[in-house]
This record gives sequence, structure tokens and C-alpha cells, in this order.
Amino acid sequence: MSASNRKSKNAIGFLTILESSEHGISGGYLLLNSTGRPIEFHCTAPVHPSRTQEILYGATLKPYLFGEILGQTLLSQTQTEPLFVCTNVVEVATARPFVSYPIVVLLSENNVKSAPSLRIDEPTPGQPVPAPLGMVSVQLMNQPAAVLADHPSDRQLMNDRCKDLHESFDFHEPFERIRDAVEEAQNE
Amino acid sequence: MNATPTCRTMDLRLHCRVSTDNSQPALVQRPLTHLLPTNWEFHPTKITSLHFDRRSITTYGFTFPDSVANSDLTSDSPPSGEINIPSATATNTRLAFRAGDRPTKIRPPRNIIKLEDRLYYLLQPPLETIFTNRSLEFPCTPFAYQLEGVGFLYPRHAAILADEMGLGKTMQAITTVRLLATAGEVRQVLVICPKPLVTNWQREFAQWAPEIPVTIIEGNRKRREWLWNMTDTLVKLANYEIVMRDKLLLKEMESSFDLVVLDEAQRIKNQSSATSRAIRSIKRHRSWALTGTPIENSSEDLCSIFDFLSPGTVRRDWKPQRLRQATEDYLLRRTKRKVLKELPPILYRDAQLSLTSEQMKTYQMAEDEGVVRLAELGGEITVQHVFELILRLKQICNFDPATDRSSKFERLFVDLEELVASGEKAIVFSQWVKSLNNLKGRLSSYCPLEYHGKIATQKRDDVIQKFRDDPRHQVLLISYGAGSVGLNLQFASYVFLFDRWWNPAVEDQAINRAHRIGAKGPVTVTRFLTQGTVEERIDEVLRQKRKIFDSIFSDNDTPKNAGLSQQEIFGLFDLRVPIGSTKSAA
Repeated sequence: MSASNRKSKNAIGFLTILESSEHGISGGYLLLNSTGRPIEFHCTAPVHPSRTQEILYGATLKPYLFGEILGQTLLSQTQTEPLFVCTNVVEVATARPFVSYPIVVLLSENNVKSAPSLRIDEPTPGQPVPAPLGMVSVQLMNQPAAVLADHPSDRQLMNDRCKDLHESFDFHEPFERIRDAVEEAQNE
Repeated sequence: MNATPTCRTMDLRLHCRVSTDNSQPALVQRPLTHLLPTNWEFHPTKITSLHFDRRSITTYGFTFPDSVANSDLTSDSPPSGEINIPSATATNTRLAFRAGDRPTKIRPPRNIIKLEDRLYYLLQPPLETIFTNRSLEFPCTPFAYQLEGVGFLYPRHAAILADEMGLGKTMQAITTVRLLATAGEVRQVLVICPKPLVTNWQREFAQWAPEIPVTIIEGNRKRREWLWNMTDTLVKLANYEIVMRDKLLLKEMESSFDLVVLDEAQRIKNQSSATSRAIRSIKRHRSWALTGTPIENSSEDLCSIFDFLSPGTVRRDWKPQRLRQATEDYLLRRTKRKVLKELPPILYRDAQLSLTSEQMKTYQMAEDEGVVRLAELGGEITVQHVFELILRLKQICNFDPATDRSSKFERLFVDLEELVASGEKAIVFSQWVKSLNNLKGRLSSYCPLEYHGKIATQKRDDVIQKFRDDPRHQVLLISYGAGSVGLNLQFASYVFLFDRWWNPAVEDQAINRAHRIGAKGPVTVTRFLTQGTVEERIDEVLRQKRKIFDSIFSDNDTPKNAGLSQQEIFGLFDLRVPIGSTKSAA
């Protein structure tokens, strides 16, 4: 990853993957300050894995494509190092080995279901969503979340770095912004 | 060996048999075999390598300007700019946005072409997030439609906020100015409004943006010159007359305003007027117009406002349909019916009255004589002559000058008696101060208050305060000219239109003084109309004007005539327009 030119004491990254039958698979990364104002935005052109790649990579295609390829590419573009990166796509967590800050996955029944290769148990309705395989649960301002188990210090880092955030900070809303912006860019 | 070896199969197993008498039968003879060396051609298997080429992934990205995005990254210092806007205090009223409401997003206007600029707006947080995270102080939680209005104004350099009266255009403009100022996007804002509304704007700024310094441009020329050139105030507030008077000063100013807001922008509906020219000459980057009536008489009114907002966007010869298409991205209009479903209804009562016999006698005489006189003018007749007659007849419909009898007053008195007894407050509108004075004398038992052009500006706020707070004053006599805009009289439930204005939009403005946010119950509007008089004929003209407005701002069919022609004015008395006179009259 390229060295960050700007350091921020409270910037948070939001990284998501958008799959569209029309355009393909794109990644979007939005860096916000603690009041939700945007600092940086990056998105990728859509990629289309071939049928052969789908067969060969099998269940590992998404972790590889979302995390190592799209995720890593986007995170390498940023000029400001975030406190942590938030994602709503479980497979994006595989970009963690390439960066020096935690990547935290917001857990919901939807994103755990869509990542069967990383799941331990079926989520039970009404019960907390279990952390996927290879991840450990954390609380992101009362939101169920998970970080990679291979990076044990991330859990503590997350706790420390959330302290100064406003209690009403909405961790889901920025993904809507990324979606709108990527769609706008694709319609150009 | 070049020859291809021939191959055949043979059974190489040796068969032997053992007899029970120990005799040894002969073994079957082994076949003779030879080993022949041969060269085999070897074709290696093809290997296909597949990989994702990381370098082939194209990315697009940009960084937001420091002043906008990162004002709180390193410290609590304000965004770059000359004006220091203090942060809101920690004791702010927390905004309680309703759960489940869709977040209000800032959408870029269509005329922003560059992708980066469009994304700049799309990537801003919802307004609810901005307000909550920045702990901005508000007297109450804005309505969802008001936030939508803020989201509309924010990215636009040219915009008309044309909400119906009473929906809070002032508050929406102030809140947007506040957001732009906090983001460092505006540092010099000029608000131009009618003179009676200056104090109203000042009050609204104190309420909705208490941290923003506001300077009222007033005083003698020397003082005004000094005030115009002040740079340490974010908002300057001036009335139209001051702007007219100081047009040269404004022209000579070296710096441009980041934003000019025109309140009651219908004031510049006449493109060639001195006011319109003076306003258009102000150097500025953003231009917003606030008006509940962007079209009062004809679509040309709207074109004139666009001459200020964005010259060249519309043409006067366009038909309403095309005009609507060209302006729709610049214009936001909501009606109370559409957005304030919880606002109490307006109950209209058309009081069609007969003139008293004395009034009718005077009226008939005046009309007959007047028409004869107009006919005698022949080719010299102008629309002014017709107007004079109309005004005279309308005054007779109010009060008979000979006997002072008035069927309207008789009806008003009866209505007021009832509602005053039940503790309600009423507003009575008239075109003439003379009529209002007459009413004041007759209604003295209700301690009526007056609000019109003859009341000194500095006393007008006191009048409104008394009417609101003092239970003895239950009736407010008010002129269309002075009181149809900007006043908040939602504590009055009854509105009487003692006589009718030329323009339905002005009547709406008047009614909406009472029918606005804060109204506790239905507002009853009584429109007096004397039968068989010019008032009845004017009412028909007003209905036609309403159709014009609807053709631009709704999906109704477009009427053929988009303006009130001289022909229609003359037609009130069955007169013909003299040859060579074809201009629009009103």
C-alpha cells in the first residue's frame, strides 16, 4: 500500500462492493470525517470474472476478488489513513493483511448469508448474528460486527478508536452514498 | 525404423496338463518373440494459466477540498473564510427526526455536468446527519418538506423557492445559508426584501441561525456606504428601496456577493423597471428567488425572475409547456395541501351580497356616467381611464359616499359579533385605507387595530404584538399593500376580504397570514362580493388568472390566453380597445 500523505485522527473508511447484472462488479470507497463529511472517494471500473475463473476459484472467488483485488486496489488509492475501514461485505475483510488498520465487517443476516464459505452457523432470527469463520465478534457502537481473527489486536484497536465518535453515527448510511455515487459514475 | 510396426495380439499363457498316471505330456512350444526398438512421438499437454490482472483495474477518485470536508479533522477551527461562525452551544435543543423518515439527500441540479461536481453533492451526508452531528441549534425540528427545500437550495446557484405562503420559505433559505456558511461556501450573503419584512428577516435569522451575524443596511448615505463595505458580517439585509438608492455604490463594490437572496421576488416581475435593473446589476455567484407567486399575471413574470437568476435560460415567446420544462429543475413549489396534510383546512365562504338600495342608486349612476364619459373619450381612451372608473365603483361597493350605507359592513358586523363573542380573532383586508378607517370607527367596540401604509414602520411590530397578545384587540384591519406578505398571524382563525384584489395570488398571500404553520384550527375566509357589480366581473377575471398559474405549476391543460389583456379590462364595461393599443394591461 502506498504511504498515506495525510493523517487523520478521526477519519473512517467505508468500503463496499456493488454487483450489477448490467455493469458487473465494482468497488467503492468513501472516507468520512467523524461528522460524516466526505474526505475522499474512490471507485473502480466494473470487473467481470470469466466463467473459467468462477470455476477455478470456486468458493474463494469472492474473497479473492472483493478483498485482495478490488478492496486492496481501492485502499491503496487513499491519501488519508483511516482509523479503521468499515464494510458491509464479509469477503472484503480479506484485504486486511494488506493494510495497517482494522477492517471491520458490519454483520447482518443478509451479508452473512451471502458469504456461505465464511459462515459457521445459520443465523437464527432474533439472535445475534454469529461471526463468520476466521473472524471474531466486536461491537461497533452497539452494532454487531467482526474483525479477522488473524489480527487479534484489531478488537482492542476498534474499541479504542470508536471512543470519540458521536453516539448517533450511522455506519450503514454511507454505503447508500457510495451506491448512489457509483451508479452516477457508471451512468456517465 | 521407419515402417510402422504391425501389432497383433496372442495369448502368451503356457498351457500344461498333468496326468494321473505320472506321464508327462509334451509342453506346448513357446512362440518365438523378437524385441523391436521404435521411436514414439511425444506431444506435451498444453497448460493454460488464468489470473486476474490487478493492474488492469481502473479506478476513479477524488479528494474533497479541505475547507469543506475536513474542517474538524485537526481542530475546532472554523472552515477557511473571513467570518468566524461560533459553534452552537452544548445546550442545543436536540432535533428529533422521526424514525422511518427517508433521509434528505442533496441531489445535484441537472446543469452540473462534471462528474466530480455531481459526486461532490451526492456524497454529502443526509441533512439529518449534518444537523445532528454538528449539533446545530434549531427552535424546533423542521418538517421533512422543509429539509427537502434546504436540500434543493444547497447545490443550486440559481433557484426559485416558490412554496405556497406559510410553508416557511424564509426558514428554509436561512437554514441553507447557515449550512453553506458552515461549509465555508458562502462568506458574503445579501438578502433583499420588502421594507416591512426587514425586521421579520432579522427575527428569523436570530431564531434559525443565531450564530450568524446580520447587518441591516440603513441610515444616511455615508453610513450605508460603510455598511455595504463591511466584510466582517456574513449576512447583509437590505430592502428594495435601499438597493435602488444605492445601486451605484453596489456597482462600485469590488467584491461579489457569494449569494443574493430575493424575498418576494415578484417585485422584479417587470424586467425593464429600475428595481429589476438595479438588482440584476449586483455582482454575485449565486442567486435565489423566494416567492409564493412566481406568476402573478402572466408567464412573463417568471421570465423576469429568470433574467435575475440565470439570464438566457428562458425566452418570453415560449409556450407554458416549454417554459415549465425549462424551469422545472430550478424551481421548487409545494402547496400546503400537498405537504402539510395535518394543517387545518381553509373554509371559503363566498358572501354574495346585494348592495343596499342607496348604494345601488349611487352605483348605477356612477357606472352609467362613467361609461358614457369613457365612450366620449373615443380614441383617446386609455386603460388608466378604465381603471379609475373601476376603483370608483369598487369604493361605492364598500361604502356609499352619499349615505355611508354598506351592505358589506352590515354583514361583517353580524359575523364579527358572533366570532368575537366566542373569543376568536379576525383579520379584515381591504384595498383602501379610507375603507379601513371607516371600519375602525364603526367597529370601535372591538378595539380594532390598524396595519397599513399610514402606520409608521417602527410601530407595525407593536401592532402585531398587541393583536397577538392582548385579548381586548380581536380585530385587525389591514391593507393588502402593507400586510399581505411576511406577517405571521396564525392565531387568527377568521379572514374577511372586504373587497377583492386584482390578483388572486395577492389574495392568497393575505389569507395565508392566518393559514400557516401554527394555525390551531380551520381558517374561515369570507370573500365579499356584491352582485351585479364590477366586483362580480372582476371575480371572473381572477378565475381566469388562476388557470394561468395552474398551467405552469400543475398538469392541468394550458389555457389559450396566458395574460390579462387590455381587451379584458375594457370588456368589463363592454368597451373596445382603441386601435394601436395592444399592450398587456395588468
